[in-house]
Amino acid sequence: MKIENTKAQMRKGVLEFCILSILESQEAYPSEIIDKLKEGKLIVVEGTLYPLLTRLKNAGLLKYRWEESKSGPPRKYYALTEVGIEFLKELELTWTDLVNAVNLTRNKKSKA
Amino acid sequence: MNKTVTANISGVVFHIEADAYEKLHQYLNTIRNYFHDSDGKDEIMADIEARIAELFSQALEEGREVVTMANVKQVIEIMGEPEAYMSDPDEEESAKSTHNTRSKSEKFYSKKLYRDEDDNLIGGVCSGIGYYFGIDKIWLRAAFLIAFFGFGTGLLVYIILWIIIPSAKTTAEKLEMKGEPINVDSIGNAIKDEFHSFKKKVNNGDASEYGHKAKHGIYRFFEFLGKVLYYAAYFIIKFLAVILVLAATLGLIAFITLLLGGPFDLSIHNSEIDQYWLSEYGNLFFSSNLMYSLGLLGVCLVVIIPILGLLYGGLKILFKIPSSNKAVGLTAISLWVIGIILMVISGSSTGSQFSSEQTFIETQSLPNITSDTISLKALGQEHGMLKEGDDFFIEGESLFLDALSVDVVKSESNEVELYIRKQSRGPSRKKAGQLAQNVKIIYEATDHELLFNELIEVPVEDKYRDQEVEVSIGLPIGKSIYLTETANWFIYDIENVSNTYDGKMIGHHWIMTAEGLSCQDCEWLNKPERLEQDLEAEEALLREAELIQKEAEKLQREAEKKAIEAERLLRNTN
Repeated sequence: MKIENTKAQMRKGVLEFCILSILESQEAYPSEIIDKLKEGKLIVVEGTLYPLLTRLKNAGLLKYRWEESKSGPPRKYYALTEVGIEFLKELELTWTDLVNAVNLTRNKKSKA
Repeated sequence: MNKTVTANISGVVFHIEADAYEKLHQYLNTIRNYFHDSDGKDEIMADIEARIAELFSQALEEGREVVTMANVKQVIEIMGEPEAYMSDPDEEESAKSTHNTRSKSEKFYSKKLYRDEDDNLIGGVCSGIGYYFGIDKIWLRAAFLIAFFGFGTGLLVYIILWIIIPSAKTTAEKLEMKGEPINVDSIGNAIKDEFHSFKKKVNNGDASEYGHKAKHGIYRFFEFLGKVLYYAAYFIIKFLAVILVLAATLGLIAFITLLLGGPFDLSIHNSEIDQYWLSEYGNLFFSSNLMYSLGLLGVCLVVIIPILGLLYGGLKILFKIPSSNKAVGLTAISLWVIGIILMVISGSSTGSQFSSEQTFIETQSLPNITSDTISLKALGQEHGMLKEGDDFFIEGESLFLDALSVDVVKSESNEVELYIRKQSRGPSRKKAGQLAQNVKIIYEATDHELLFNELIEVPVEDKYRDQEVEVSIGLPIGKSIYLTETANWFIYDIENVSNTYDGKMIGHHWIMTAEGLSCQDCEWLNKPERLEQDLEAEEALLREAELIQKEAEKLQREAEKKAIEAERLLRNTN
């Protein structure tokens, strides 16, 4: 059992949730998403984000539109689809449950 | 001054320094390879390229025109090294699912052998091999464990495999590792698939890329032939690889067996000599234990490294092991050269031990031999301890060598005497002389018998330095010697008046005359020519006798027939 694997597994589950959350309030292009994820230290390099976005898009959770950029090629602005919004709601519920569950078990443990 | 290259990245034109371009190109190719199994690979690549273009544009806003190596390195840092892409566990899952759906149409040789360090007991060798053949790793582990107790071969093989099989680090490698097991079925399926898709291409005619070409039967034929040849070559190469691996393994086992000596001795005889392993024998020849060890190490390196190289090559072809770094090969070659050097050092130091020769002569008279006739015999059962092909053995503090030769000459006095010539080699004449003096011969003399042990005795610490002893029995004129059967073990080139060779002298009495040794009871010597004539005459007579016998038998049969006839006639007349 390697701690790196466990960490990666934990981060993996949360990562999609975070990306969807970032896109909940406003649409964004990859570098913006990266910046926010980097703040939370969820992701280190940009390269890993692109396959993830493509997969979420292919799964129908995200859509995008092109926007011209002054510095370089046009940018993809991602936003949630209807399905994506539903999906995010589900995830939020699950997240709340999980946080409660973790807190509960950890508190019990510390008391005991 | 640097050369620049113009590149179109995601629709934006950049001037890039040549080396920077090379680096970027390589980077993108690596990433593309990692994604080659994923859905939306092109889209991902387009996104990544777009982002790179954006980063370059930002970097160039500061007024420069050319993208430099520093820019490219910075971009790679931002985007992440290729490995980082795949260490993302998220990607692993998606890639795996797409991989599974596609694996059937994939070529069967895409699977590779890796070590699985996520699922290891030691180095993950067994798990990796298990994936490769679709065998449960528990069996392989058991097999290695059993082989480990089989003289440690399991351990050796394990370590070799550990070194040569790379571990699956990135997801792509893990996928290659876990792909569909390679067996006869999957290989067959893969070939079928290949032919199927090819046939489809041909049949679809115009729509396919083969289109107009396919209309020519000859082209089709050659295309088919090409495929057949391709797979034939593929299997031949694999087959040769199997032979290579087997041969190398056998060679390795044989060499280790030789090194360890005794326990693997397959020969039928089973005497004490088998207890002495090569190490004990080897020590006898070398100048010091250090030189012996160096020499042995040298031989091991020189022999084992090429064998391991063959083994490695075979396994690599067989299991599509991705090539590892060059350091392994360089190390191997250096070790081999070191082995040669060690052999030369050890060999020359040992050779110097044999460079000089010295002889030590002594005379011993044997007054207690009173009889006029002496029997020459072997002493003891020692001969039985030596087997054919062996020339020495060690017992206690002594080394016994089969290096005695006995001759018979005219005595310089009127007593029976022994003229003993001991000889040895050594690093100097002085040392060789000392060694020669240390050699002992084992003999006994009674009033009518002279017994020699055909082995000479050397102190073990003197080592083997080609010690030899020549004993000449001095026989006074008028006395005779009888050579018994066992004397044949040590007599050598005894001169005599009739020039009879040693083997024929056995079993006869020889008397010393003024002219030399002369046979007393060799009847053939008196009339040597008669012998041949007699033989011829005897043969002729025998042939004649045989003919007469045959004639007699024929007549007998005829007589019997006549008798029966006569009896019949007699009955008829009655």
